[in-house]
Amino acid sequence: MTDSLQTNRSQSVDELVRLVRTSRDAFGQLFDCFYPPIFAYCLRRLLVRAAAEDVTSEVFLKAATGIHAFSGTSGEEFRRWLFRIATNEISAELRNSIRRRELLEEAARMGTIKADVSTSLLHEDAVIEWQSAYEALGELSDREQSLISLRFFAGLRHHEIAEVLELKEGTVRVALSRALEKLRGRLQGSVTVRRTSSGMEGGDQ
Amino acid sequence: MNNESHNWEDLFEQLPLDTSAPPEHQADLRAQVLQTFESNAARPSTAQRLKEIGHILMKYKVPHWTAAAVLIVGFAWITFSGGTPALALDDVIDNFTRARTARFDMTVTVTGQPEQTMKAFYLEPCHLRQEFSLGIINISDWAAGKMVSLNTKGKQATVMNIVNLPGHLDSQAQMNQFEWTREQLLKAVDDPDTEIELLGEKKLDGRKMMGFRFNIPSQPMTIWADPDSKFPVQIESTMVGPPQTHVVMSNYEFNVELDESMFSTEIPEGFKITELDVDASKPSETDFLEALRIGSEGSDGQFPAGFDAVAISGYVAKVLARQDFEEKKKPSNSQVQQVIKISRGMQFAVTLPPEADAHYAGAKSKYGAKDQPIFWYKPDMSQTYRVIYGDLSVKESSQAPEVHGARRLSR
Repeated sequence: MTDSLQTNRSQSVDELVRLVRTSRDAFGQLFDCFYPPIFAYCLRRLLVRAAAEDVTSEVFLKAATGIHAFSGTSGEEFRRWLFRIATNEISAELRNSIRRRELLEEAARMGTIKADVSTSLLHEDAVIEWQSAYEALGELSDREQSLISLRFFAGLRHHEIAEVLELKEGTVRVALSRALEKLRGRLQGSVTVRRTSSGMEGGDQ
Repeated sequence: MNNESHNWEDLFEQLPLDTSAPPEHQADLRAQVLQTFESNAARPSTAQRLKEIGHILMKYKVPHWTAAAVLIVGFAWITFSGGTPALALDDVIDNFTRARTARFDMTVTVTGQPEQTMKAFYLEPCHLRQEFSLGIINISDWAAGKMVSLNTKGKQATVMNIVNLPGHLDSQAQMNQFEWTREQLLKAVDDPDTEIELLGEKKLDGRKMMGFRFNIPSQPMTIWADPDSKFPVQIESTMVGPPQTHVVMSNYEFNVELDESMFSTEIPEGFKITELDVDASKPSETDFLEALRIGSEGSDGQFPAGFDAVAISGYVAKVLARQDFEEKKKPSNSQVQQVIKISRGMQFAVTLPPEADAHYAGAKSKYGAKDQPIFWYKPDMSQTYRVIYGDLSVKESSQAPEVHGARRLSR
């Protein structure tokens, strides 16, 4: 997308946001615009489509009900506001360890997270299972999970995460770095094998 | 971005998930959400508009009342301030902020001036009519960017056109005094630092009322509300000034039938018309220099003591006093224009962001001191300072001047 097209799109979203408190049509158009990224974000956190649909529904229904509380005037502010709601809803959903386990088991059963993933984060060509990765993520605190999710599942930049979580940007950088370090530590225990084209080269790590 | 971050991104990008939006769910939810929006936001504009009003006024900082006073001064030479909340506070606030129309009495007492009373009428959106006892009628329509003052006895009309409203403002983002009162109320309630004091019960016209006081330093407000109807009955506010201004709005009637023609800004036939333009665009350094020039010329060469509401209102009063301004009379058009220019120019200074590192050192200086820096700031994206001297010349400087007693301006 060219810069001018991007600018035009931002302008039109901004215009919709300025109308959104009074215009059903504007709210509908913003829904169309933001449903896909919010759904994708929820799904990446929850792994199960039905659960992601439920939480996405909650997000937009809360937005419709609480539109009075939204005081922004730009598309960016509206987006951050939605991600804030979504983050809170997801955290509430995942706070219950039984529910978290259910979602993981369901995702595993459906094959959603069956695949392994290779990463050089731990050491060269390490391979971990997605299920283990999610379990490790789930062991972090709510805030740490939110930081990592907003950064890597929603693709937000540090200053945007700061806005969503109402933290200082510097705090986000430090806290995210620590959260990733903690996650890396948890993942160490999940690495089981290292594979190459010639076969298995190492045992349990 | 460093490698570490890339590695984490690579990791999460490999998550084998199809995250495409489910069309059926999206369509179903859209319908449900819009239905919720309609039922909850059938009339959402007031509360939010009031917040937007706040944005407008904050944008032109010199505290709210000063910005409005600049406009109001062209009408009946009164100043005005904000409102208050009550009992099951949320209900009262909600009722107050959602009222489509209102009829009420207003009494304004400015220290040193006779009390003024008027009948006021509000019609959503953005219409206000005030009827004074001497046959003066003020009508404002901010959506249309117009305010008129009719002297029905003298057959004279003053029309104020609000020009250059910032482009991002839609017609609902304008303000009048009634809405402004509601905005003050909403802000006070939203602000966790606002002390709200329960005043208990008292009888007004034989009716039992509950009172709440908002201890806002610059503008304390009290609201008396009817516990049965959950509407405010009386709102009192005091603008500390100087001059101190006390406003009482009483005998409220809400959601009454009001004829739209009462709010027409068309001037009746036979009236002599005077038109004024009020520039609402973002003030520039040029406006600031012009304000300092007008102000210093009108006050023995002095510059304002500061840029807070009190300092500016005192400065404006001093300028007017030098022009044989008689408090009981309506100011002349040129006086009004001067007040508007001073206030507008000062807004430039107080709306500079913190990174502008703006400083003021002119409180004890006089016009003409060509070697005395009185104000400096860094324009957006600039590495150098713009330094204004006592003769109102401006020079660029790589460093901020060092002046004893200089005060930093911050938003």
